[in-house]
Amino acid sequence: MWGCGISPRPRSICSPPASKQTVVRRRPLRLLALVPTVAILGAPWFANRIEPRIFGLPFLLAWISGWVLCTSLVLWLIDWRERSPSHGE
Amino acid sequence: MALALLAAFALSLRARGAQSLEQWSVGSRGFGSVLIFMLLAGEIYTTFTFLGGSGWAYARGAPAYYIIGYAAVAYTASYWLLPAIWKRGTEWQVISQPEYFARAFNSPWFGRVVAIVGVCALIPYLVLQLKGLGILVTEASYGLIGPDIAILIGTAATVVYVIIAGVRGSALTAALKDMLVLVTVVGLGIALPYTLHGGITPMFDTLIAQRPDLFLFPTTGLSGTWFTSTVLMTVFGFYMWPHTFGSVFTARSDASFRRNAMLMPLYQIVLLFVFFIGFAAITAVPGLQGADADLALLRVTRQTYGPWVMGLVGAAGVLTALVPGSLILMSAATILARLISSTTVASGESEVRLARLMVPLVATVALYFVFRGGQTIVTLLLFAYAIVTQLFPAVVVSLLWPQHSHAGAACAGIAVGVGLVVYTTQAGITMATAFPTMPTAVTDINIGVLALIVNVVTLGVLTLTRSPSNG
Repeated sequence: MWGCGISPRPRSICSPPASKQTVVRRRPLRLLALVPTVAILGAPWFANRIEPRIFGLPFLLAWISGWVLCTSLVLWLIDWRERSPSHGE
Repeated sequence: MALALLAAFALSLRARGAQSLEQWSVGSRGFGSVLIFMLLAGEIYTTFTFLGGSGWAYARGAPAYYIIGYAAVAYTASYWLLPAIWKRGTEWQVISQPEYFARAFNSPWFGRVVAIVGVCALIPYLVLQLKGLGILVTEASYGLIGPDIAILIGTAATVVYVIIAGVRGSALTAALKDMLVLVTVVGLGIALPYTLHGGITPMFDTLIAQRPDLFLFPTTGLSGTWFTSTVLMTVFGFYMWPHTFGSVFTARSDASFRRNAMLMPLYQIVLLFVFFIGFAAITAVPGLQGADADLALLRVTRQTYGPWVMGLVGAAGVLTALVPGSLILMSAATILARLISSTTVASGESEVRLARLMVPLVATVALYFVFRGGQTIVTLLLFAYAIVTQLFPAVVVSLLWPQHSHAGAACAGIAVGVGLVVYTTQAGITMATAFPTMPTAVTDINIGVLALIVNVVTLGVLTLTRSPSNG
């Protein structure tokens, strides 16, 4: 929700003017950060149930915990991609 | 057991004593990833998570999950937000939150308003640490030391070593605290379900059979709407704390924030074990009502493992209260000192003296609220968050639309937002009592979010009506 507000902007603040190509290539990955965010914020609607149990945890707790872990993964992926030499930063 | 407590005290005191006053002057932008990580991560393992997190899991179940949820969302946000703030701050050579606002809105008095809001939010945060400290010492001493005495002694000790040891907490003490908490929490989180139920899965089997409602969001009250709005509000407020915001400016490069954003969720997931402790306590120590729910972790440990483990838990717990407590105290005192010296003429040296004078003052105000009492740790934190979150819209304006930043508009927004939070809390008004005819999906919205909306509307309308004349 607020990822979409913030994500396109700081590029203009943080980095030198990006070529059109990098903008196009960056955007889809940055949008990926929205996935865990929406999954967590929407937990009451997507996951408000006990079954199926995952590793013994009630589903709701497993859902939220799982997405917290995915947040790390997604951010790592974005960071790794944006650091790659093809972006020339 | 008492020895463990004393040792913890002595150790943190010694670690603190080694700090020189200049060492933590934020002016040197020299902190790398590790230190920034420790400073920002130190926020995670506080009394709030230790006692409040387990207490909420015990008393309310699923709504407690917001604690792990908000952090993940906040870190995602921080990946872009913190480098942006850092960039501005470094360009402008500012080192504190009020300075940032004063510079961003080109208005010294707006900086002062932000300083006051910051202190107002820090006080309930300090109150909850002191409350936690009282609970910990009383329980760990098996009731030998009463909570009032414990809070008084704890506060006095914090005040004395903040004054003596100087500016802010050391990342090293925070690291020690985090290690101890990590070991205690993971240890107890695994051991308690095994001892009491024969495992984590059997524990959930038993609890789901007895209280299935505990693992779902209720349909009213702390419902799904409450969860989402509370997570959102907390995310917006997460980096608005004066000390957190200020520590952003200590970074050497913006890369440290990105790396932290990746690591922090892993740190946060440890709170899952805090919830396990709270859940394990449900059958072992039933019947803790209201604010007593915060005792769940300590009672279940005491009953299951006896004095030796209790000593360790007590020591870890005392650190979770003292380390953040002293950080908050120091940061409130520093803000006040800057505030006063910015309105009068004062040199750098007298500013430090002034800051030291402010320490006992702030502590006394916090003590007053501690003894007025009544609320659980989580309730206090949510109140503090509702206040500090009101600064967020102004930060967004300063980052995204700097050309439209208007101090009067931002200030009006903050005033309306904070006013609404304080008024409704004092008068005991909730969305449900204010709008009894509305559906629960609306009335369960966190009051802080409502205040935030009113804040944004005020800010928006005033900015739009004023900006033409302002050029």
